[in-house]
Amino acid sequence: MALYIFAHRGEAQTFIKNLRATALDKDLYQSNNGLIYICSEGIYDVMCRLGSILDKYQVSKVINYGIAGALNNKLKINQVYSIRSIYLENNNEIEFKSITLNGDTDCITANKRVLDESHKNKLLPIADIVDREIWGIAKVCQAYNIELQSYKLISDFAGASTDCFDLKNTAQIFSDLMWNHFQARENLATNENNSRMIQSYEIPWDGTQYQKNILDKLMKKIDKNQLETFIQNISEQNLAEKEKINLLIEKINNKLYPVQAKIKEKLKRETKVLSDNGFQVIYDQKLEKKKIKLNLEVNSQKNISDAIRALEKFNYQSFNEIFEGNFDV
Amino acid sequence: MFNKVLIEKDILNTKKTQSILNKVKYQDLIEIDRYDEYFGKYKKPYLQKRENLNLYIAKKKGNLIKETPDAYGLSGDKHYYYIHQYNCIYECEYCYLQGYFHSPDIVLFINHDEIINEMQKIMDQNQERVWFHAGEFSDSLALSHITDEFADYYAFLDKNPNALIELRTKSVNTKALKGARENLYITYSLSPQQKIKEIDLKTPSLKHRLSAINKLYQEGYKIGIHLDPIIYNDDFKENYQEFLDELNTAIPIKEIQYISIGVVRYTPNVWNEVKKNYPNSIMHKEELVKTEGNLIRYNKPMRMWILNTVEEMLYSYEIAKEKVYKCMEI
Ligand code: SF4
Repeated sequence: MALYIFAHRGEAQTFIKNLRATALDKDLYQSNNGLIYICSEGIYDVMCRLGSILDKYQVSKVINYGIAGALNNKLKINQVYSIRSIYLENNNEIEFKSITLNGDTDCITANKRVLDESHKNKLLPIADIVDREIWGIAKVCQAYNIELQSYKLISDFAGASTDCFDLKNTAQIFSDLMWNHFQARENLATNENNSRMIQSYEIPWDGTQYQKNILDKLMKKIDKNQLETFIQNISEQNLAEKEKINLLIEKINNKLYPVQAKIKEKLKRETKVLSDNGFQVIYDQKLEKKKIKLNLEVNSQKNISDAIRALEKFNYQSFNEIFEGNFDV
Repeated sequence: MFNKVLIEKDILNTKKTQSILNKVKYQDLIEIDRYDEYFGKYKKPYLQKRENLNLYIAKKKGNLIKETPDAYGLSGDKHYYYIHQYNCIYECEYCYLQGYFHSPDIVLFINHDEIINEMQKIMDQNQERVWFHAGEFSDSLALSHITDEFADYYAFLDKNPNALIELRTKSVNTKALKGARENLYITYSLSPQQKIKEIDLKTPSLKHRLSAINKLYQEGYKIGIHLDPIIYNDDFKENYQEFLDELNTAIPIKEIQYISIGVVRYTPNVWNEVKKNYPNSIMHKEELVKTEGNLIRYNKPMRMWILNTVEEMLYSYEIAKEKVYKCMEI
């Protein structure tokens, strides 16, 4: 469900009425469309309470509407802007961490109302809009990995000309304007969702979780027709399901990374004399270091003499040449 | 072009600042005390360079010149880079600036006189050749018609024949240059056109870069080429062969002063940004590993093979071996 957050009840009033929301407690309302939470001004209250709401209810996205001041004089009063990057002024310093949403105008959350020109001029290089709480909302949503959208209605210009209006008297108008914006957006989103198609592809065999994780990554890269051909070919082979998946992974890897496949094949060839004579050959996993580790199980004199012969035959120089890139593909 | 122009108050009325202001388009002009009170102080997403790019005009404080890392340029010489600009108007998907500064905004430093003083101090202590590279944190030519600083650097070059300046670029904006010099090198980063189209976003096409190279070569400029970053694809060999043929028609490859070759590589910071900013880039096609030196790149056999392959191709154009070097590959 969606959670709608407003700083003041006055800003939320049209939403509460039109969504037919009923109070769950002092600051929280519920409707068929989701929850409405009145978080009050500043970042501290919302940072304390929002987490517990997200813990308790199955919230899939958070939508913030609120009034805000324009730092940039080119913004228009009574227009709603969707918020992009969110910055914070904290103890008169600018917080390094910012949070970015899908909007188009930046907003800075100030630690106090911006009532003079010097405060305004300090914030203007950073953002065009100033509010008092969005950074706190965004921080909690980020921690909970929940999608956030924020829309700010410009009520006045920040700085010396700040309009210290009485929110009680003007709130109804602002709330109506934000509701109109919300409705227009909802209609647009419904149309977009209807036209979206979901595509997925199922592998017909059961594998381990590890195999599934590898396949998930690879399948994002491989062409679907190519994948179908591989699956069809492998299906005809008389193998256990997990072996089929291993073979599929190998085929996809070889197709996606032909040079890597050739490098591995060359390394295998160069060390064949060792693996044929009982050694387990281990390369540096990242193929960065020119070294191999050899494991050998000895249970007869023959093992030892085979191993000595194999080591004598092993040509380290040729192995080294692969790491120097001296081969052709 | 710029959203906000932010200028340090102290330099607002200088000739250099006013000359820059006259040449750029912007929405708002804001006076600030110091650029570093804002730039890099908070994280501004890199891709906002597309629709919300700001310009700072400032004086660089602190280090104006730095020594380059090992395996940077032609070996045997001393190499420094000088810092006159941060960030770039282009948008190459591999650009390391996206993980370096915490902002894509462009900073133009106007105290070139102080940079040149530092360079002079180094020259006064050296009898040998010393390289000064521009373009470590920006493109050296892209905004040069706006910054117009070359007169000062030319005077320094003329006074110090052992000082070599490299202007590294992808730009065809050569009109601010003031003529060829023995100790001035214009170096172009090049890739096959398909790669330029796919990942060197907003940069001039190969055709345009080659024609700029040809023009400069005809005018007697010394030209260097950076075949960097090389990004592997299935037709890599054919693509590079074709592309080197094209380069050879713009300038005989054997006439190029030096060619560096390097495969695509990232520091972990840059890699994280690249994945976030360009999740569908062709750069993610091939597998990369974290290697020695904390760089994320192709594994050693693969990158050495790529470098050797290109190196061999270059030798077929009869370029002297000592003119070709592998970048960041010791
Ligand atoms: S031209 Fe250079 S500095 Fe500019 S975006 Fe490309 S790689 Fe970065």
